[in-house]
Amino acid sequence: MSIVYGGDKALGARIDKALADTRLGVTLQASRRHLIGFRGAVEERHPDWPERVDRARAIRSDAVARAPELLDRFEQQVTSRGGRVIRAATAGDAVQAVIEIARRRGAKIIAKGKSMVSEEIELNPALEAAGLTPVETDLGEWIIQLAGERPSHILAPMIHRSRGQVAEVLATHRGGPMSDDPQALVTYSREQLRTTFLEAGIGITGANFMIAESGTVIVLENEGNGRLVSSLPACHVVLAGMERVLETTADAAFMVEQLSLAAVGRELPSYVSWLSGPAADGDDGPEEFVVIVLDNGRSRIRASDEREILNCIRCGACQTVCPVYSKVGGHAYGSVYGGPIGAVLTPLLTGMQDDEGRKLPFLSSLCGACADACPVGIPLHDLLVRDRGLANRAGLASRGERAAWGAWSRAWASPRLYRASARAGARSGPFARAFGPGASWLEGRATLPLPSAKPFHRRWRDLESGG
Amino acid sequence: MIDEFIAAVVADGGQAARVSDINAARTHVAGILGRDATLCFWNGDPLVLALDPASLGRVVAPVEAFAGITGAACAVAATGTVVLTYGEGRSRATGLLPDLHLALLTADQVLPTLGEAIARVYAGEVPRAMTLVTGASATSDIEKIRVTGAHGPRRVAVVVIG
Repeated sequence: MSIVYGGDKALGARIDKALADTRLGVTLQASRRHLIGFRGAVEERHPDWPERVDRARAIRSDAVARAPELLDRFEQQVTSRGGRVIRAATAGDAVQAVIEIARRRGAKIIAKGKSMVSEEIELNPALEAAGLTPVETDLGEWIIQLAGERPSHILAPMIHRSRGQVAEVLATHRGGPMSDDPQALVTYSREQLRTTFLEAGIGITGANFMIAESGTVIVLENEGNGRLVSSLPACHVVLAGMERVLETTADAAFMVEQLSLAAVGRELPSYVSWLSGPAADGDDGPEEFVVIVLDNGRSRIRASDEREILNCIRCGACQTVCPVYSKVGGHAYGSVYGGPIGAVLTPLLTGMQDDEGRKLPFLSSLCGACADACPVGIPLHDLLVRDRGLANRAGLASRGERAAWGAWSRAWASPRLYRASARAGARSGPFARAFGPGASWLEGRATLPLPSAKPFHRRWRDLESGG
Repeated sequence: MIDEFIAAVVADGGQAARVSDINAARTHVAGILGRDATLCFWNGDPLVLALDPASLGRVVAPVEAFAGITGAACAVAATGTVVLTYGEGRSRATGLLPDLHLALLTADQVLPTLGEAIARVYAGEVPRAMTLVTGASATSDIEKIRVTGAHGPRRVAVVVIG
């Protein structure tokens, strides 16, 4: 399955590697502090933040519930202005659709704006195999493409790289020395990619939202590469996850601000493009406008009890605040979608039979920081627990382990059996410590006291009776 | 509300000024452009044409121009946002390829919130493309440090007339 790419190396080994990288930890912690700082400022400017989250949750839940109907309206609107909508059931269908458009148009260079769906369907290797030249134009994505890496964060794809490590990549590209001054690195990238925008036969972007009532695709960005790839090439192809639909332009105006506030702490990013079809007469935009709407497992999730994960608007806030993510970074997850959102979403997209994907919901302390940070109020920690249950029932836990926990659960639901187990625990404590199933967990917890010989419920009873 | 708009543009790192009429606007724009500027402009926008932009510099294609002069569909006071829609004589490249994007609008085009701006633009025929421009092109991809002048205009200057 393409979403999980880490299968070649065990999850534990990836985590060990990430933990050994001390510079990575410093970078991720700085980013976490940055987000926590601007979130405080956002909540000061918007004291109604909890109500905003409730409103966003209601808008998204309603839109996901009515997605098939809203997507039909979206398609009808886009088509009425001469655009085209392609429904892709699988990653392979989406990739094939892009290749067919490129072949028909005789396009060679494909300029790309940022798109997580493009990563999910592994578009770039497929395009290269078809003899095409995809060029990432978002600064972070470009560096990662040059370095042969994957993005490690939804919003900040090269968050794992220091400026020196960015300069190294560009020095190789240039074939000469490169300053590590961010301004110099950005200026070099601007100069290098200008010709790509002008020469590309096709521009590809993702979609932050689709609006049903107007047939509009919305793209948020700061760099201007999204505007360039959707304006200059003769053909603009949009890659959109099917869940990213909204009903009205008024909903979209609110959600655009909500996404920007959660992602970067500003009311609006530098640019928000609202694109509703090919160029009209005399307009210098693209003559062809195609929206590829990807399912790839989303309909199955929509029909499940975990459907609220489809409300996600990909702001990346849950990744940045997560204590696990901010220790190990995105690559350790081995999924296109890392962090709490990825830990929930990845196994739902792959299916719980996927050996690697179903391990991800366990990369969480269930502290709930992700749910607190979520601008659309997704109860991520609850979904992590649900996913764990699904993973265990699908075979991650052995039959013996499941039977043992089942017995424990039933025993502690009964006061009589609970007391019996407490008495047994107190007596067998030293033995269990050394040899029991929890022995390795207890290692290094030397100060953990042994169970008292007189359990609390008995002491309480004695206290009550005036003892 | 105009003051709020201008303050928001400046807070985003842009330039903004309010002038009394089109002649004052021309003087102001000439000051920003300096001598011998290369420029392109929306030749289908009455407000931009009234500025007589050809008298302010050498007119070239957007890809070669230092400055691009556009009008606007409307603007948002709360966020300092300029709303662009495109068509005949209102090229997408004008406010995108040059280093400097100069946007010209009248005071009555400034609306309080994004919601009102979207409602106004979408009240008529759905535009094929609309861009909300809030500040200059920027990136924070390198160590979260904000650097302006990524792929779009390095600077934005807004002139409000009236």
